[in-house]
Amino acid sequence: MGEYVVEVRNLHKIYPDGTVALRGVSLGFRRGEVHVVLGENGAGKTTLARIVYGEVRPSRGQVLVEGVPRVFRGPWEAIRAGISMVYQHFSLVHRFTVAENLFLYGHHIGLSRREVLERVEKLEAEYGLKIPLNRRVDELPAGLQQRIEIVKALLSEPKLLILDEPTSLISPLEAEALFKLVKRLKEDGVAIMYITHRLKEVPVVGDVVTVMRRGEVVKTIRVGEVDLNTLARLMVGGREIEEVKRPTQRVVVGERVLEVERLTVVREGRRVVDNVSFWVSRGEILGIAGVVGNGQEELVEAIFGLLKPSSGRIVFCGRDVTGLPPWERLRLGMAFLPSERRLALIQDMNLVENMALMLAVAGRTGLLVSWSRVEKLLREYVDRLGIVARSLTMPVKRLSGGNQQKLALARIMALKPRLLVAVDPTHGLDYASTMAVRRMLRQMADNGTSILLVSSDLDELLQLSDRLAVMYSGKIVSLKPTNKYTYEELGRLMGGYEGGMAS
Amino acid sequence: MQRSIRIPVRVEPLVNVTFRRKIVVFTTTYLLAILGFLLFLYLKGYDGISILSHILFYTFTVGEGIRSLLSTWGIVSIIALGALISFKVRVWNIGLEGQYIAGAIGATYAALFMPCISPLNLTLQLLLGFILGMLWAFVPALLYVLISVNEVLSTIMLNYVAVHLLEYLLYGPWSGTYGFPQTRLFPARFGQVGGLPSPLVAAIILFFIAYVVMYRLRIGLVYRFVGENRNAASLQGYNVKLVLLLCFLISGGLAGVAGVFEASYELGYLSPGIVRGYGFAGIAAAVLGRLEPLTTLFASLFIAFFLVGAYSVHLPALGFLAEGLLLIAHLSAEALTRYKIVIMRGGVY
Repeated sequence: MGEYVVEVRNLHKIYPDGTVALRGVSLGFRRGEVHVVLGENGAGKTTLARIVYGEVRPSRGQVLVEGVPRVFRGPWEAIRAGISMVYQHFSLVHRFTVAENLFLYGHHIGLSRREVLERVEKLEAEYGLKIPLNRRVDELPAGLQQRIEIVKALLSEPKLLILDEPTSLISPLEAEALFKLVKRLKEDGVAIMYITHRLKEVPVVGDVVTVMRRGEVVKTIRVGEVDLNTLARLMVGGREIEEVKRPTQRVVVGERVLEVERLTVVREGRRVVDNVSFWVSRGEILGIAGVVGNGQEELVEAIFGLLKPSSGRIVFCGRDVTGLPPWERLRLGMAFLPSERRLALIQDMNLVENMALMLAVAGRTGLLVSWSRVEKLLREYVDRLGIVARSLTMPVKRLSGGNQQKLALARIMALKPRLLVAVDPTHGLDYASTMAVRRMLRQMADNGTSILLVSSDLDELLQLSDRLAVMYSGKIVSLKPTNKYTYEELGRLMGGYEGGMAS
Repeated sequence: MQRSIRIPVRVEPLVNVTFRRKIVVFTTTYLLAILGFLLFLYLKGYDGISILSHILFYTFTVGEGIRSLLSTWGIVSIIALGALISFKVRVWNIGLEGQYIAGAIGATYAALFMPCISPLNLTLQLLLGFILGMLWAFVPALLYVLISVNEVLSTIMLNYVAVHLLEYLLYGPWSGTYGFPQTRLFPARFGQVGGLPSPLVAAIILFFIAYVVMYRLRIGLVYRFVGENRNAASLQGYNVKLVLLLCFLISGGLAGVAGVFEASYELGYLSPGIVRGYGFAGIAAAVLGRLEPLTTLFASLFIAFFLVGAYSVHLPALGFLAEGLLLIAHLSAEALTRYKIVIMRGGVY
């Protein structure tokens, strides 16, 4: 197999904070071949790309360019070795013209202005591209900005081009143009690493597909030899095919605590939440699944009042709260647990102060804060939830992640809210804490709190939710009781591939 | 990348800072600052040691020196409290000098043109000074909160406007006998309270109130919350902009109150002499006091000592020199306790 342009062998990556991103990944990229790397969030796709591009160093394993092991000290060395990358978020200077951006990059890789212009002309001629050299970047639509990014990456005449989620920020029409360009590049012998979570794109652009899950390669296979249903299953379920198991299925029929009606949120001209309607009953856990960036974040922010919806209604306990600011929603009994603990808790304040803060925000303390009362209340929860803390007056940042999250939940439980909107409540926690937090959520629901749970962890959603919705590019594409789903179906829905139902 | 320069030094955050590291770093940097101060005096041909000992002698044993130190302490610490209040919510109100001048102008108006029944007039002076200080902060505050105009620039620029307004008033409508740029004496003036200068008494009361509000009241909790993490505060549903606006205004108002005391207690009239850089001294004190009320109160004493001392040897610029050196020393010490500098060998990571 010496014909690989770039090959990685047994790559491992453990980040300094202990996150394991890759566990032994081996892959190869051939000339004139589009190699799709498919996976959910946290599968390790981007880490893999950044290692190949010399931006991150592997903890173990090798990167070989044309059979020779290389250690890059930074992207500039990868570029010289013939590897280019287009990031998911563009890295152009907004207030520069296109030409200035290209010159800047040219300077970076040692090309003169004249050489840059020559190569741009060549690319324009070869691929029939139009490049508005004298326009300012911020005047251009996203698709065109991306084309500039690609042209930029091609200036160094790479052997391997890495595209990281290239369709995530552009419109379907612009995506068509992108696919055409990728095809032309392939015909010219460029190897392409195409990172995506969108199943539909695999047969459109790919020759070979590698499915990654939790830092491992599940399978590498030629695109012609596999159908999308199998890919969907591999992407979310790993090697085994298991049906969704839930020990008890509760059917919750109670009053509707939250009703969302035809909610639309427009951000930067895109409909990030697109005409979404659903409701949550009393004591019900409604899960929202989907690959990150499909509108879940904006949806919950709109529900808690942090984002203004462009149209639609949010009804909470029979009251239209669409126009209310967040604190009023909080006082009505709606609590929010953001995914980042840095935002959920004040790291430099101590446990008691953090507790008092939540009570104060919800209007549950007097003008004068009675520290002894707050401490008594906190002590109660600390004992009940088993929060391990040396003292209640130590800063929160000295607590472990699990204990921090328990504290964040304790603060919310103390308010006895009617609805909790939680985003990735177990993100980054170890196994024991994860389970403890999930038990707490279940318990809250049993005591009558409704929970809207957004999570990038599918297992969590399957374990906890009574009903499960799937979001894909701003829309809810499916909503039904959790035990009615199969892994395969979930993978298909999350990947935006609706065809070929039943399995 | 061939032409770019890479410095083979890396700065790493320290997770646990030991008490010993803090002590060592702070004493060394402070000592360096004092050495720098003496070195500067030496280069200018002064005998640093005897100047320092003169200042110490004057401010702590001579009656006039003590009196001056205590009242300057009071005035500087009120400004420092204003700085503290805005800095703690990360609003960098650098225009305390201008707000202080505005406050002095307000006091003068009350003293000269309003009914002169002593207690009433003094209240009016305080009130008008506070309001004018707030007013001076109002435009930058509004611009900052509504459209994120950089508050450092807008406040600092308004300092100059305040100075020119002061000059206009003193050379124009308020000029005294024979056209001197000085108003007539205030009929009602602040005096001593229980043997202590009234600015110091006011400062102690204000610091006490600030402490109680910050650490005992609900609004104080919210205030510190906004200071620690604005994003989190708005995620919890707080009206962060309102908090920022209020802190900005109170900060300006307090500087105004300091101006009232300078005009009405220290001088007894309004003259260009009130522009003494106290606004910046207050900022230095708040930073040295690490933005905590108690420590800031004492840091103000430290700063006041240098200011009064410098005046006593007729070298007022020395006060600013000491202020600047201490500030640099303190900020470097803060950074050096929190970060470690590593010299790199070989590859870049």
